[in-house]
Amino acid sequence: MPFHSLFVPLFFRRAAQVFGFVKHDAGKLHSLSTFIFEGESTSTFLMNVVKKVPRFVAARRVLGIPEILDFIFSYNDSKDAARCMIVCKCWRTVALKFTWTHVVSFKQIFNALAPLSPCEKDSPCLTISRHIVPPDWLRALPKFAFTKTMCLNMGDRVTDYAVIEFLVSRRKVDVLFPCLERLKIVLDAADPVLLRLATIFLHSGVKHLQFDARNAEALDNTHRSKALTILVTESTGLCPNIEHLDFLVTGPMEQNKLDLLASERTFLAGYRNLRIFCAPCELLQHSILFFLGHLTELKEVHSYNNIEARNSFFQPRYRCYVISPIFKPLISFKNLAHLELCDAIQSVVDFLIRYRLMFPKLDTLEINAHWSDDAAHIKKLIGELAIASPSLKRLTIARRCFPQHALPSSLGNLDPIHYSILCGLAGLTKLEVFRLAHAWPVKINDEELTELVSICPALRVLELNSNPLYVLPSSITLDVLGMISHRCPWIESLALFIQLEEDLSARVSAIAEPSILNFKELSFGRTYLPAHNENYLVPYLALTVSPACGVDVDFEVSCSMLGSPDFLRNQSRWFFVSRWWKIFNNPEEECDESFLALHLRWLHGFYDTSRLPEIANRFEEWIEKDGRIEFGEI
Amino acid sequence: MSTTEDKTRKVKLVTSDNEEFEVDWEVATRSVLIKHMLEDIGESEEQAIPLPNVTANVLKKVLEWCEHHRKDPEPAPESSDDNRKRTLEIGDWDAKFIQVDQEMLFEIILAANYLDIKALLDVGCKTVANMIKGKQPEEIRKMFNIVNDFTPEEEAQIKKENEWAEDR
Repeated sequence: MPFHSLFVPLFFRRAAQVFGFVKHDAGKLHSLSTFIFEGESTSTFLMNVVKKVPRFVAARRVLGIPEILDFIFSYNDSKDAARCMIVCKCWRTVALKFTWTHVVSFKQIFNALAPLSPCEKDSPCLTISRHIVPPDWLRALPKFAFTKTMCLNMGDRVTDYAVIEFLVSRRKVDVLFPCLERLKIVLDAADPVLLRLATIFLHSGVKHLQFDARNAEALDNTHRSKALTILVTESTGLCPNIEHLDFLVTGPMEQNKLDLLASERTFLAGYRNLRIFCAPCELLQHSILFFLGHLTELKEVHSYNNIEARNSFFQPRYRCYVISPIFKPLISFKNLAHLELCDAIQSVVDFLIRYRLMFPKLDTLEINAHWSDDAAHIKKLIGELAIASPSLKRLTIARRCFPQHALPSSLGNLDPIHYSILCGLAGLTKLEVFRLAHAWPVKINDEELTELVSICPALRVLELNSNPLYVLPSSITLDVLGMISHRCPWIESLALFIQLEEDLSARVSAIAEPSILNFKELSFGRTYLPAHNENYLVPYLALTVSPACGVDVDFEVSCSMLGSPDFLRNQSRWFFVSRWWKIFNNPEEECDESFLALHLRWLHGFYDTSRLPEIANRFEEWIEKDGRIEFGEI
Repeated sequence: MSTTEDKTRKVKLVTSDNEEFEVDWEVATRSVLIKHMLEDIGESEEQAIPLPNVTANVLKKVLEWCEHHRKDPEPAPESSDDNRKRTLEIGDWDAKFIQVDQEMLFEIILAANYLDIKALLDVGCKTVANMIKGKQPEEIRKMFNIVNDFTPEEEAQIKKENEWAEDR
């Protein structure tokens, strides 16, 4: 041992010179020799020093430059930063900021003040183990000053109320998180009184507030309601500059709260600058539109479409809140550019007719309608929009089938959308994109469709329900592509449900020259492709469509999927067609995901996912039998 | 400065180990350092630019990156840090490019930092961030051979304070 301890520094200095270490000071050399010794048996030392030193030269230089470390840490989350703080002193200094920039737990906040210990033995609830004294604040407040965003889960029951009250009282002395801009509160199954804690972080610098109560179903309504009231009253008072308010809720309770907000206009002053408001969910009432109308700076309204994700839907409530016309001068949609609604079209139309309000800047309107809306409602809506929203560029209407509601027993109840309804679109002179989706059956023939496009010269994208839920025999044939391309060269993208029963091989042999020139994108959705035409569609397209045009099959898998005969085999045929088209036009392109992978991705989320591995195992059989296979016990 | 001339113009670079590289102006000026140096010496001179902090094998790699990204638009002037997209995703080509041994990775980062090539520095730092992600402090020290310079008491104290990071 004595031999080594004498020899090493000498040897090391030589080695260091050899490997370009001359610039480093003695202190660094010393630390380098320490790490080489760590965990090494002295007998292997000489071997390793030769191997290791050059290997880590650049690493040590890079990881010692605070500016670069800063850059590296900025890509990771606060938990990674917290671990990096433990690596070494240099890293601790740099990582501290990132540990606190985005705070994700109450525990972190309390831990910074004093150590936590369980309230009772084995209890998950923690409390502060001693009194918090002024030096604790001195230590913690500089850390809090780094915090810009905070995501707190109310389910993390950390501490007892005495401590919360303590923090509340401290707020009178200091703003606890002076740089906080965004606060997200996830309300779980915990006591909503904890929300009081979250609201003490609010101040005039907070611009973005998100409230997520999607998993709070275990809470009873009184508690949820109380929690929301606290949040709304505190935030309107404390955050005058709030720009973005975001509610993620599923229950009707919160919606009723918004009704209440609309009727108590006193609350609204604080939200005047609100930019994005995420409306709760489907079936907004007049009062909600009325509420939105008070937010005169409002530019965007986004709506969460939770229809596929969850099974909780409200029964349509057609009771109308009749709001006195004397309030009309107070509301305006003058800045609104983007509006997403989950609502009955009937209710939107009523609103438009009753108040005759203008939406001068409205650019995009998306409505997820209820299935009980019919073709007549669409006609009225299009007519009203032509008056109220002269700038409308994008209109999307989808009708949803809600699992809790019985589907109409026959198609007789469903008026298909005819040309006479769609021709109203010509009144929307700026309209560029029109999409009709899901449960709207469309009945239109080639001539009518061409006529429709020809009277809408601004139209670029037209989607006429290529993935219908109620399949009606289509009257649209492949002829329509040539007709539209010839007469309406402005159209760029078409998505249609086409009739493909005819013998395509005959068509292929009759083609003289390419006739469909202008399209950038064609989509055939769930169009039924009979087996006898499977091998002719791509040759047909190759001879008629320009290679620059994408052919996409936007399969939208819905809950009705397994109900329609031959559905899965049809999907696999279309997958084959789109893949073939891709390879035909671009042989170099690498193949993307397999049909199996794509299919499992579709199924994920609404199908019993525990079955997915078994479906993957028996995939061919699954397709062949159209999803009707017997599963074993899981 | 005329752009037509820039297209054909060549730039000479000399590395610390005295190797000379001749590259297109467009490729070399991916580096803000070189760009500024070229502006300083003016167009007329055919002077070679010395890069005393970069070796030939590293510069070769860096130029490979610059060559591939020669047509990329100029990065937007540094807006506020918060607006920058904080994503760990790396483009396909870059991901393949950066699959090098650790020493080379850090050499590239050093060179990108010195030569002031923001986008390349980004790629390198993201790669390191990815290596750190989800790792325990001990694993990180081992990976980069970093000395733990905390006393056991200090380390225990920080661990205790950051206990929340290990929840769930």
